[in-house]
Amino acid sequence: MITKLLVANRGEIARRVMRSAHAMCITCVAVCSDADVGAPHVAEADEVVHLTGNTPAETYLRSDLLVAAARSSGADAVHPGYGFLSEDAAFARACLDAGLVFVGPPPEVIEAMGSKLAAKATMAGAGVPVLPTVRIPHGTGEHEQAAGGVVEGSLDEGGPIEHNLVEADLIRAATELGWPVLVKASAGGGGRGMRVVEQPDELAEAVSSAAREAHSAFGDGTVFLEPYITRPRHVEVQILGDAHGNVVHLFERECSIQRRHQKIVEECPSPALSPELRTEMCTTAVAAAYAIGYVGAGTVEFLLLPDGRFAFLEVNTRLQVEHPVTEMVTGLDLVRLQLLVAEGHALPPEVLNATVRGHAIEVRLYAEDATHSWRPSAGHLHRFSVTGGPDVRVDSGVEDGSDVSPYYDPMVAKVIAHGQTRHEAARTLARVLATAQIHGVTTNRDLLVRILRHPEFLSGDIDTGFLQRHDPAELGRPLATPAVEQVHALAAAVTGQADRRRQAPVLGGLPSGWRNIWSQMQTSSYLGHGDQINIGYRFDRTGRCAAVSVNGARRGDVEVMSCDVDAAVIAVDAVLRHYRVHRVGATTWVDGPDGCSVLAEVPRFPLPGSQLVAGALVAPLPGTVVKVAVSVGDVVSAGDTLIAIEAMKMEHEVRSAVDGTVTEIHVAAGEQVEAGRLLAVVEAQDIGGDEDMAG
Amino acid sequence: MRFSLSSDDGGDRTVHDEKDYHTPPSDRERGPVTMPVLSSSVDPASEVYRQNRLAMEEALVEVNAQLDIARGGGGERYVERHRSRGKFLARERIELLLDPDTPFLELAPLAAWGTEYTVGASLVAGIGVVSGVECLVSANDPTVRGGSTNPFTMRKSSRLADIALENRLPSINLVESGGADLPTQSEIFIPGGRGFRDLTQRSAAGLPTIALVFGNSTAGGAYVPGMSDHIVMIEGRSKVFLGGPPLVKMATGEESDDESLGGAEMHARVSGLADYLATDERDAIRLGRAIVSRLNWRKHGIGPSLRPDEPLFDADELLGIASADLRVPFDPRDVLARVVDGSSFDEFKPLYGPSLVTGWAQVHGYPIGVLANHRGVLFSEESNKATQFIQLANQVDIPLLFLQNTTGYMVGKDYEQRGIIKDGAKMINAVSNSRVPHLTVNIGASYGAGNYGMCGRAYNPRFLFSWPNARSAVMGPAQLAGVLSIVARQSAEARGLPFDEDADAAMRATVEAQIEAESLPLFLTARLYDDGIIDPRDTRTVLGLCLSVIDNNPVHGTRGYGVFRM
Repeated sequence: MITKLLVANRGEIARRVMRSAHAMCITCVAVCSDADVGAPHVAEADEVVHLTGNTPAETYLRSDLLVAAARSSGADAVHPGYGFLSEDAAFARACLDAGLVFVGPPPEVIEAMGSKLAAKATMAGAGVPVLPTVRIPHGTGEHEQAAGGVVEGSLDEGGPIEHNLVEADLIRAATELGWPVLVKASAGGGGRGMRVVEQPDELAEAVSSAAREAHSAFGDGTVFLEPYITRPRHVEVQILGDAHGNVVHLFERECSIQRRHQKIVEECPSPALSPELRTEMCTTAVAAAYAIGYVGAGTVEFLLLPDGRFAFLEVNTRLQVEHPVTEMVTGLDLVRLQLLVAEGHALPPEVLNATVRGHAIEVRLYAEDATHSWRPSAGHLHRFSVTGGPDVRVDSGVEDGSDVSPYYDPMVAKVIAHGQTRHEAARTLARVLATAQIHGVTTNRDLLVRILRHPEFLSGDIDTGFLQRHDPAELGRPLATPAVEQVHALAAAVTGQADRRRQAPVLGGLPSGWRNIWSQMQTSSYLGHGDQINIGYRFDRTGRCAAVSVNGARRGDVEVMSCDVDAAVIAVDAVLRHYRVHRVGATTWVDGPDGCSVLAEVPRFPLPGSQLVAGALVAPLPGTVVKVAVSVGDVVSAGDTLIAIEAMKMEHEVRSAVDGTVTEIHVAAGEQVEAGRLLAVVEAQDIGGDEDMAG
Repeated sequence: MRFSLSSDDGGDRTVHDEKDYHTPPSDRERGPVTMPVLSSSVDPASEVYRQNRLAMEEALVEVNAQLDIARGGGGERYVERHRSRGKFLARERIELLLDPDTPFLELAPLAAWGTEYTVGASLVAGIGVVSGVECLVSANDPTVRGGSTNPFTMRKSSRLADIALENRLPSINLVESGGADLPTQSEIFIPGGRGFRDLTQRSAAGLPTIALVFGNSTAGGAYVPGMSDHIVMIEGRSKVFLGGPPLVKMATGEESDDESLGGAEMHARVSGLADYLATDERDAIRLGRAIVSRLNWRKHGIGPSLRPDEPLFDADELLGIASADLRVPFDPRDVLARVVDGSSFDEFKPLYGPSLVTGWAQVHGYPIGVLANHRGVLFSEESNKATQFIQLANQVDIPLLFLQNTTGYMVGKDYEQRGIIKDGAKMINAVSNSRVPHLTVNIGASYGAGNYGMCGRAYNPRFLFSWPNARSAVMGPAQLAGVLSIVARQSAEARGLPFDEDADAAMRATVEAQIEAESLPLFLTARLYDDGIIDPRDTRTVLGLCLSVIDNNPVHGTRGYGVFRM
């Protein structure tokens, strides 16, 4: 029996595991890196072991430290969550060697499924359909055509092909698969080491770069080729086995909406499966699980082709990120079942007789900018509030005041909605997301809302190419249109007004902005997504907002019905909307039924220093130059330290105000300078359009 | 006390002597004390209300038209020229200087109305909040003859100086002035010296003076920054010198230029006259705000002591309360019900001397004692009641509010014989020697010695405002004309001359018209006889602001009085 469980993970999955474990009265031990000391999963644990350092390699990937943590805390079991060491056979083995229960399948199973190539071979042997494969042993130059060929158009079975003319043979083999082909890393995952190759002449380079990437990411540069299936769906089957020889499936999940080969929307059931196909796929998955002696929770992933055929992709020997959709439709608690199985129990009857009720959809809320190549966004979450009814579940790793650290996966939460139908679930989820308050980091929320409301998504006719067909920059653009953003800026202005009035040290009880002779409006200016928005407003002697202007133009169609410090009701063309407003420093977040805006208040009195001719850097005070960190021609970013001056025993850094190139340097280290002396010039570089920074 | 319109006629008020206080709702209770709450006799559907409101709205339109002119400064052409130089207007400078969303009470905005000078007297000034501190802010209007000082500018400045000194306010001068309006130098030069003396005396009294110099500040004008504690100048804009290049050339033969004589850079780097060098107007205002934020300013009063509940009745109805016909009295309690906190009023001696209403209330949390004329005339009882009430307020350090609507002290044999002069003198004595701050609002009439007893301008109320319907003069125009007529008739009779009835009628009409014109609020406010005409609906706000301003000093009533004539 498990009495104390070490949760070898962080974020939402650590909280998720502890929730079930706590419900089973199991004591939970969390681990945390330096950056996670204040994280919610730490606060919710009974005991915590601190792992020094921040990077995963120093902390959550340290098998030795985790086993030591389990020992020192007296834990008798380890739950690996997903990611990190969850599919690391050596870690599972280390746990077992240390006398700990490892909540997951046996190490041999993990190992067998760890290599995609080996897994494919095993599955093909068990009669599971797989795609044909061209193996490319890393570093040998030898190309091997593997067993395969269950699906139509697969290559004939054959022995290894001797291959010296690397490129030519590679191309020939690929041509046999049919263009385009997909280069995949055998040890890969999450899209790393994966390349789509359209043209023969791109193949060699794609193979070597994929191998390099795979080697650096997974320590194994083995890559192989598969036919690239256009417009496939990603459908996977949840399986659950016990140590008594039972293996069941808990239906499928469709995860076809992906960005960069990572799922962002998952659902159960799949709209693509007929009852017959469902039975076939699920039965196949169970057969696959039996073939490898599966114990615990796992997932068999398939590609579903437009013609209804399907092919094995891989087995995930762990709890999936998207497991909640299965839980929502079956009413089961997969973590509880994992723990029961780990304790040696047989699968309970509710698992054996599980049915699907309604439809569940999950989205992954990522701290990333979908409109800028999914650029990760880190920072302080000033507010995180996602609220819904009983049909909504929020599995989050964060809460108000959490820091989203740059060290880990940028997923901050999963939001799952259940409905009687797929449409209901999608509608509920879209509304919950659209009304969520997520303040402090950029997320893909608006993209997710647009996907959930997209006719193509709602039709159920989706595939993994959804975000190639539909521009993420378009889907991810703010739900609040520029016109709405102006209304939000007004909400920010009038609530800011209320806040100032409330905090007024004198005359706070008098009407806001009262004048016996009125000459101009009160003004506030904001920067949002678009151009600067200048708001003007006037409150009359009764405290009613009597007039509003936007960018200097009176707006008779807009009326502020009421406003308080953190809320405003504004009517546009006689339609009233409630806005929730949250201010931290000069930043204001406005959440309304028409979207959310982040508005930076433009300071009324810019400091003269900030208005210096961009690029000209002068000594802030007299002193000695102690460091010149750049040379003429260097490309620098705003905020980079260029020169340091020591004065009065203090070192003062002179930083570039702009992104650009250093065009002049007028001082050298050791030189005395007086205040105001020109030190260097940085020529600002024109900011281009939205360049794809991440490639 | 409830007053109701009599049922039979069109609106004469019937006075009821029985008290009829509302029982206040329990949530208005404060501790064991139940505050009496005023009721209202105002019926917005009545003909009287409609007539009153119509007259008041007409008066407001007239005042607002003049305020529009004042707002327009020197007129479109000069405003455009000023703007084209990249400069802010006087009111724009003030608006930028003030804390966002805080109130601003502009003072004497219609100074110089009806004179040869521009309405507003080329100076925009008032009390506002800068960096959380109530300050007296004044700005030259450079669109009016270059912001130069005329005799009315001088009178307005002097009044502002008094306000700053009496109420312990830091002053901020937004300077851009060509100095004295030379053609009127004879009226300005000698008395105008007071302005510079005031500045430094305020400084000596611990009241910081700040000058933000936006442009020219030359000759005599140079002493405005010169006498200030803190000076901000703007690069390339401020010019401060005693004599410009032409004058220097004439005086000494020296060739010079503006910048070397009085440029901002020179003053910041060489003469040291400028404490701060701003890059532009906005930056100068930023520096001005920063200076105030570092004044370590503390108000010396005790702050509002009571919960500032809003009145129970709509302030909008104040437009229909003051009688269109000055001869018809109206109940000041109806005004108080729309001005004082929670419409709560504890009346003092309600049954004695009912022509004057006295009692205790609060406005925006500040306690006040109120003296308000009810039926115009002050009799001996009213005078005695006022005298006692003023003494009571001084005993417990409570400021007084005078709501003027008086035709003066009662005349006639009976009243003279019963000592109306002695009683009136007691009241004037009490008002004169009272040391608690006084606020006066003329809400109707202010005639004769009643103006003195009810703390008119000569009795130094901290602030005095008029409603647009108000009148003030030694007596009513008809009475004054009638008195002249009677005197003339008696003189003719005494000399046995025939009395020219036609000439008398013409004389009476002329005199009536003249006195009427001279008792109008625009005429009076033009001469700084009040601090401004206010919209009746703003009365509570204006009083609240003034009480807060007064609270910069502690309130100490006088404990001794001049000899009361008994």
